[in-house]
Amino acid sequence: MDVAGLDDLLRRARRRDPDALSRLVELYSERVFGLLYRLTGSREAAEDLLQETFLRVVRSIEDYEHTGRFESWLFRIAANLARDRARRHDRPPVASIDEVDVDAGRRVPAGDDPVAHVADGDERRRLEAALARLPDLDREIIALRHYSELPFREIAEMLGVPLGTALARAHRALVRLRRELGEES
Amino acid sequence: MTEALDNLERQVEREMGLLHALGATPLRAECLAAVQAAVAAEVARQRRQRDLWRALRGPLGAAAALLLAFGWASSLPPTSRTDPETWLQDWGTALDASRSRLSNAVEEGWTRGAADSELDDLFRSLDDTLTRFESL
Repeated sequence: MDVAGLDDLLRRARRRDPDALSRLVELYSERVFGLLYRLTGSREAAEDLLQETFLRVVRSIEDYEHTGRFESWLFRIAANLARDRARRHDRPPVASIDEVDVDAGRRVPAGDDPVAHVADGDERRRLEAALARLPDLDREIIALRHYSELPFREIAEMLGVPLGTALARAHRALVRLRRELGEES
Repeated sequence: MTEALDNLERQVEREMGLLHALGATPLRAECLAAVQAAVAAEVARQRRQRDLWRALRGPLGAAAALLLAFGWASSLPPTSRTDPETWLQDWGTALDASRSRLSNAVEEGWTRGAADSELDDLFRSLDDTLTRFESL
């Protein structure tokens, strides 16, 4: 969606236009869900948090001042919810590797039974497992970059860390992933 | 320093390509529908709340003024006028009583069916309270 289109959509959403809000859900659900799934390691938890994320959007969109950073605002809500959940459950945000493995590679086209779909690649499965083993903040940084598509500068700001720290952590995480996947040259 | 950061950023951006192997994380259609429904329900709930508030704001303001006056007038003992501390305490008690009456009024909806004699009493209480104000 172009900038003007998003501006118009957000203007309508701020007036609680149900169609506009529905469109926002449609536009961003998959990416927000992807992030939440990576941060929680559980499809069920990610689905719950996805709903909570959009409910928070509805409740607070009047306070959101559109400055072209809607995605940053939206993904911040989602990431905060994932972090809160991890704290509430007193455990790392990502579930056990076994749990991640069960879900790994599961592609679920609309309307299909998720269980009917099997992993579509060993690489993907190994990558998911390696991702789950990363330190929380490292994983959060690269997951945010991957799913939100926000620049590192905004991600660093969102997480309250200097840009250099965010980049260094992302670099370390990616090196580690490559090593675990045996791709290091 | 800036150049070093720029170089690191470029390098990390290149390496981020590794995550493309994750592919999409598709959402179940049922989940998307549930989110849409929850959002629609929340919008409807907020609209109802806003409409209710708009409808009640006027009557509630008037009722609050009347009930405050009524509560104050009926709870204020004659002796308290000369003792500021007691007077203040009584005022607090009266205020609590008014809040409670206001709450009852809103919950029971007396504003719709209050008898004329009841309203007359309230207005008399208001007059009485205003007289008290003048004597302070």
